[in-house]
Amino acid sequence: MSIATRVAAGEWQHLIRTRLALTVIVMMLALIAIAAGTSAIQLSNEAQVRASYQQEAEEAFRNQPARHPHRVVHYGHYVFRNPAPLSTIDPGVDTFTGRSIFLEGHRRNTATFAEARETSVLTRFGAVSPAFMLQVITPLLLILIGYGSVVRERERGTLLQLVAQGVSPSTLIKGKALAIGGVAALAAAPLLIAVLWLVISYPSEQLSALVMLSGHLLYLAFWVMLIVAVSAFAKTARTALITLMILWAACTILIPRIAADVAASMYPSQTQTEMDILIQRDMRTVGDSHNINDAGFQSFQEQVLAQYGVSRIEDLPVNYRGLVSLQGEEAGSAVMNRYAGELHAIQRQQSTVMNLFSLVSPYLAIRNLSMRAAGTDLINHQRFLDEAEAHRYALIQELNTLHAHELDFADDAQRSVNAEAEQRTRVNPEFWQRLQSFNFAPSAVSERLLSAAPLLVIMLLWLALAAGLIRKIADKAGKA
Amino acid sequence: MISAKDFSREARFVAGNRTTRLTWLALMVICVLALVLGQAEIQRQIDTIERTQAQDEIERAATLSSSTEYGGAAYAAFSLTWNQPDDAAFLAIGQRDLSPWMLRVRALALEGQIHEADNFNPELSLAGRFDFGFVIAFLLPLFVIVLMYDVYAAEREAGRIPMLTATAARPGKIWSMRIVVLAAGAAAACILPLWVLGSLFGGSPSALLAATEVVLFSLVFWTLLASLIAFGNWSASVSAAVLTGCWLVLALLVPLSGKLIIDSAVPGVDGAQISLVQRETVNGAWDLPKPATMDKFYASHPEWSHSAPVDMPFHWKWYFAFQQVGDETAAPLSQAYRESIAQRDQLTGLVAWLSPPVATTRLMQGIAQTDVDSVLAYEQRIRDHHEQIRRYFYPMLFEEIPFTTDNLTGFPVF
Repeated sequence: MSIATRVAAGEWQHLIRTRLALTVIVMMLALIAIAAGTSAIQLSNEAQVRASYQQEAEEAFRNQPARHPHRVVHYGHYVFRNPAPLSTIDPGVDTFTGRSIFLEGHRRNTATFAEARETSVLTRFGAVSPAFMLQVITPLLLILIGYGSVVRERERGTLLQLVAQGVSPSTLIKGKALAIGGVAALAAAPLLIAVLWLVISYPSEQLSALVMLSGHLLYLAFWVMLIVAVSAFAKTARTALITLMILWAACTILIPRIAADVAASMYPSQTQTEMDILIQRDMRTVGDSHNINDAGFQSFQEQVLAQYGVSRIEDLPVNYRGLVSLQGEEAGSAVMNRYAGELHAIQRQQSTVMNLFSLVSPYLAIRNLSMRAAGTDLINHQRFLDEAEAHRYALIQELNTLHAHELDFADDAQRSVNAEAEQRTRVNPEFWQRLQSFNFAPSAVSERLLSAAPLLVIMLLWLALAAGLIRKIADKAGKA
Repeated sequence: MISAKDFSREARFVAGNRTTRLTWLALMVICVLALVLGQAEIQRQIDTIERTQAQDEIERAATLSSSTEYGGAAYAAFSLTWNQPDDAAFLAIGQRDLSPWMLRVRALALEGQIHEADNFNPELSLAGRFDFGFVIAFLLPLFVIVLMYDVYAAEREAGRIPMLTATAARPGKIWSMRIVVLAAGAAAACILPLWVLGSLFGGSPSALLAATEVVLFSLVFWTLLASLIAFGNWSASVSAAVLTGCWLVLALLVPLSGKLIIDSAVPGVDGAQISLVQRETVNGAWDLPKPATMDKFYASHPEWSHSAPVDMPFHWKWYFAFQQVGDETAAPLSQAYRESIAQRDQLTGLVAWLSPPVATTRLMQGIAQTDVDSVLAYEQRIRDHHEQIRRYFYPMLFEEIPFTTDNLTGFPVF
């Protein structure tokens, strides 16, 4: 047995002897296990509920009776977001984002019914998840276990004894780090099990799960080194503890919130309502597609007439109302997508600011790294919104095409006043079978890892910093 | 009793310590920052509301003036509602970064409109906002721990206990005085910025007074807890470790366990169901005979039952009748949804008894009017306004008054 492992074994014995340390270790493991269990159960329930809603919504759409296509444009459709496989470990922003979107004509809706509205005061530091336990709680518990590891020997005068026995300061520090690292590894064990289980059930997530796991290991290694370094540097155990506590509070409690406020102030974004009003303003120039005589469609009408070589819309071989709907939706969707695109760009800038703050808080580095790798971040939320929009647009335009090609113009014009004409404007319900199923999955693993990569680099920088600190302190102690 | 002389002597001694002075200063800086950032957010919200109000008027005027029938006007004209921040909202952003504080409604079925979400950046919501309420609930306790964990042990380790006990008439008095001075410094660091910046930002004296009480509540609780543990017969570092453990349990673990218990006690009503039910009723009406819808509508609105029967495939009064029937069908679900939110909030209130940080947060959000109650009250105001709008159009639709734009000038605004 090398000297360092002997030191580590000694520290372990000490931790088991002192009841406080043992309590902390047991508490930590229990918490992480509970978190992993609850979040796995919650997630599988949630996934089932959302899948059944999605199926229900699709059945409701396909089982519609004969209807006017524009009725169906307003009847709309619902899509639900499937939870990402790795959200069992890190639910990320999932509780803060809506779970379903209503797709309808003329409007790009946002996701509604976010869980966080319901018990926000209790969960503002994060959901009960293994990631939260490992990122926030475990470092604090490691501090409680490890703050005295080196400084205790000095305070009790056992340090000189050890040195006299030929234990060099750097070996001593290495041994202590090994001991605290062992506890950290114990804390990470449930994560390892969860990752193994996920990799078996979702083989495609292997690499992302591995990156998540290694990110957390780096993060815990950072804290272990920092704790031992501060413990070796401090003159008394209590300054070591208080210093570490302040560092922990600054990294995990203080800086993230300041970062969020700075990001929101630097890049203010529009609220949905303000955006809706501005979209309405811009849409006035597009025109109201319910009214074929709207001034906005004047040049479109001329263009269509010229294209078909006729002089009256009544003479067109297609239903002009349907054409106006197609045109109106296309122009309207361009306006709405421009606003959504601007909003998404601003939100990404805000998130970049948050990412930059990970240079001052390793917690932000691991939190963002883990969300990005899991696909439970802002980027994937926006992807969900964009995919739902693409789904909406395709569906609505398909219905508008039916409107243009399956309906007689004269009947369509009479449908509000003539009951028989109204009956003829209802298309065969078998058209509703054309609905495509919606299935959202997080972005490809490679994309996610690409967005996580810079944060992994930052995490490595933090680790290098802690390692450098330890070496410097060991050198200094060696000279003294 | 605490005499002024003893207090000032002890204050000079305590303030002589550089670490203590720095801790007080850091707390004050953080409080200032929290108040300024909180106010910046609220000011942004106020500006947005003003800007949007102006644009909303323009849009509504354009819509109403270009209308050719009452039904079309009722269909197209939106009315803006907003939840104006309270003067003290800067104290705690609360629900204002989760729930919408502006919403446009029109005469169509409300259940399809009222559950609209805002587009907040979820990564910012996840971090939470840095406001005064947060500082008092979660950070002040840590400052109290840093100030007090070694109040006794430091003297003991320095070997001054016998001397202090010998020279003091009543030894207990020295310690209580020292604790009081340390706490008073922390209180000043919070309350001074609160009153100076708070009144600058337009907080009313009663709100600031209430916020001061919350600061003192949090401070007194943690001071008592800290002194209880700091006078234990153990080393300063054990005190600090035990106190940190207490903070961990009270600030993080109790709330999280509370969340798990509440989740299982009050199974959430799935909001998505409300919109689904409302949609089926509203759209199903097109496939039903007209009297089926009209009779249901007249049952709850008998004052219009004398209106002529609908004999055409489309009539606006029938259109708005089925919108209302859709809302009425979804009403029990929607009611249950609101009740589940209120019930969860009540249970959160019970968790607050076990977790002072949760209690502090809730109290502060109550003062700032940014709590769940205020969100539910705003929702009710939207409902009332929506009712006003649809009742405004009913006479024109059901009496079938000939159209003139002049009749639209009385459109009710929020």
